[in-house]
Amino acid sequence: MTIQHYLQTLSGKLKLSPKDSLEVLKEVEAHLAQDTTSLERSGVSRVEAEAQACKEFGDPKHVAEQYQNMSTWFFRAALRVVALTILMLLVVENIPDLLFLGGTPSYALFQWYPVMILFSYTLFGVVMFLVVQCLTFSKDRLRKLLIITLATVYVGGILYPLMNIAISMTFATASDPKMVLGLLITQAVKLVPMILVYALMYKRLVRTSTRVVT
Amino acid sequence: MLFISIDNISIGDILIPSAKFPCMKKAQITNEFFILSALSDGPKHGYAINQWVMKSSSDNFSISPGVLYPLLYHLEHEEMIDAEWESSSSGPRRKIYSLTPKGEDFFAETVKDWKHYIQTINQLI
Repeated sequence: MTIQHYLQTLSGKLKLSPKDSLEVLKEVEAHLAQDTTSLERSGVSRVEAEAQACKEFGDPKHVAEQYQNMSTWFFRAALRVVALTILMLLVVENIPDLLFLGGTPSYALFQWYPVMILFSYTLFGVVMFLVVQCLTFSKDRLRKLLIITLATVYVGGILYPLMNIAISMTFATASDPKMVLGLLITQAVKLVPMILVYALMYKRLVRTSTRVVT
Repeated sequence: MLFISIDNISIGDILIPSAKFPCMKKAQITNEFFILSALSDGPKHGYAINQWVMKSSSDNFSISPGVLYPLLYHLEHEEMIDAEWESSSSGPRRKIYSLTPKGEDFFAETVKDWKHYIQTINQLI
């Protein structure tokens, strides 16, 4: 087998990102070239040297599997990251309503358009998974990305009632003042305990993110 | 001359109590430990790493290239080692690996655990 043939076979079996695949092939080529040169110096012909170097490197299928085993953990870790983020989104959307108003959650699967909710979360999950795969290629970066994502969801959950308060206040003069006042009090009452709940959860989230990625 | 290739052999799970020697559970006497050991002696490319392992072990150990390079890929993703492409005067460019601070710390802990382990075994025999 020639070096070029070996590289072509390996290239067909590697299941890594294009960038990683290219780097792997360059590295393997460099090793095979060096091994071939060493064998030629010991008196072996070029053709035999290449064949021996390729044989000593290992079956391309087995080599590709070794690389795949290394990247499987990342695939699973990326899936866990996405699952945790979606779970957090669901919790952030619904905990305030469930805990403090005793009413139905605003974006729950209990509403009459669950298919749309399921579709939007699935789409979000797929997009996030693709982004994670493209942007991160190490456990540390994946863990940092998870913390940033969860922190964004966390902050968003606090900003949401603040936004409602701001909107209510802008319509205060145009609507029934008593209704607006009631809405303002409701949002303010939700905000304080929500901050407390999220503060308690945040440390757990940071610890969980490390475990999820690892 | 004794020659052992230990591509897929790990003795750590059987012999080493991991609670006492946590770093050894991870690296054990596997190729990863050899790679880190080779790189603790200075930056090297993959071919040189295997040459170093063979020379340092008096040809008792060797890492098959088909196992070595995937392990280097893994260690790079674990941020234990760094890599840079370097031009070569003869042949294609080569990837030179070096230990990161995280890799250095982990290797130092593993060596410490190994020395402690060997000391313990010596007391028993």
